[in-house]
Amino acid sequence: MTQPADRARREIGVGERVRLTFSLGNANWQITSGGGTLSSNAGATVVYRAPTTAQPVTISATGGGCTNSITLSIIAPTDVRMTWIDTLHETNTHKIGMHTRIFFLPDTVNFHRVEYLEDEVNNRATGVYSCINGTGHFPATTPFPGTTRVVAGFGTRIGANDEIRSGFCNWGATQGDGRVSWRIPWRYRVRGGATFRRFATIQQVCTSAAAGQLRARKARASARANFSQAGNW
Amino acid sequence: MLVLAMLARQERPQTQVPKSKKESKMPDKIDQATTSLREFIKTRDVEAIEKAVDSLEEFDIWSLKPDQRLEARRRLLLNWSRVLRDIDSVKEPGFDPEADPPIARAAPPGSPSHVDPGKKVAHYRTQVLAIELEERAVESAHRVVERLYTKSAADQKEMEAAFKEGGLSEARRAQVLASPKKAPVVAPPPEPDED
Repeated sequence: MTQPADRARREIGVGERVRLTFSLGNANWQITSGGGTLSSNAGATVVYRAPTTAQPVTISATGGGCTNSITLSIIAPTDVRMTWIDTLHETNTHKIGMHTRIFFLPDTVNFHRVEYLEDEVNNRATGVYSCINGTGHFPATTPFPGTTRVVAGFGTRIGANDEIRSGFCNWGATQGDGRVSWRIPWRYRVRGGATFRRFATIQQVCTSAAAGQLRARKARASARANFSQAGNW
Repeated sequence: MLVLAMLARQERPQTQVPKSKKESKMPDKIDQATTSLREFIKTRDVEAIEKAVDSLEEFDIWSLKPDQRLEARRRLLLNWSRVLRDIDSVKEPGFDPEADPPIARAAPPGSPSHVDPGKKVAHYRTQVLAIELEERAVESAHRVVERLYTKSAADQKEMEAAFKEGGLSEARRAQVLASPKKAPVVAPPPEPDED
């Protein structure tokens, strides 16, 4: 992949493929520690496919009377980063939400072979949102894929946008204090694999204040509106 | 694909390279790619193209005997041309991954129920994978042209014949022959971002 731009990096995303070349020509190749697979045990150039979990990996090559080894750090997603797209709100209601872009950190590797799911969990809701206490956030059941795009400071762009909605009580007509939050486990797997692995718990929070300020937050993305403000829900 | 070179340093070798065994095995990667592309023609499953790309990337021409390399380079370029042709048959022109990604939500609380975005995700996944494979295939095909072909009339004739037999479009031909684009420096998206 051409992103991140560093073509000599030793940090590799789970499931990424790396072409390894032995400078003296033909060699015998061996993974001396760690996981993953080599396209061949012999040759001047081989392709290494990283394993599905984070770990250090050492690969050695022997040929032409010489030997050398290289150590790679296989990196799994460590966190989720989101950026705001638009705000969801309906005039004269405590309904608040947003659409966001999704990225996986760190930004030093490419997670294009990763896909993810959110787990369903129930919320804790108080105040104007209390009637929806204990309800879920209805995640999609289809895994979403990573893309090849890596944005500095944000990470690998995931091929989906998120939709965050507070929910509401009494048609949203009550202005007042309230809070609704979900602690959502996120799981990744390498495309083609069977096992999803939990890597982060992301807080999704929507709040309403008595003075009318509304706010939605998730993975460092944020949206604001006011109770009486015009909007789209 | 990331490329790392390992510089050899003097140490006592532990094993000998089994040359004859390896040389007889390597051309199989091109055969595997050919089989995968045939599978794609039957199934129209973009993952069959991915298998072909994986196989071609794993093909190591320098492990062959010198007298086998000329034929291998022709087959290699022919198969990269076929890969690009097949990618073009599934990739929607102008598809923008950022334009309308699926929404990762099935039925938000307190809103009209949405259908699970499974179909949209499948379409999106195909297009995103096609873009990834396009990037890999153009880069690899360019590397074949740059490293394995000279400017001689005979080489140019063989190259053009492989493009033609592989069904490579004129636009793709120009792309493969041109210098690859440098990886863009991707700036953060310009939108408000608060905590």
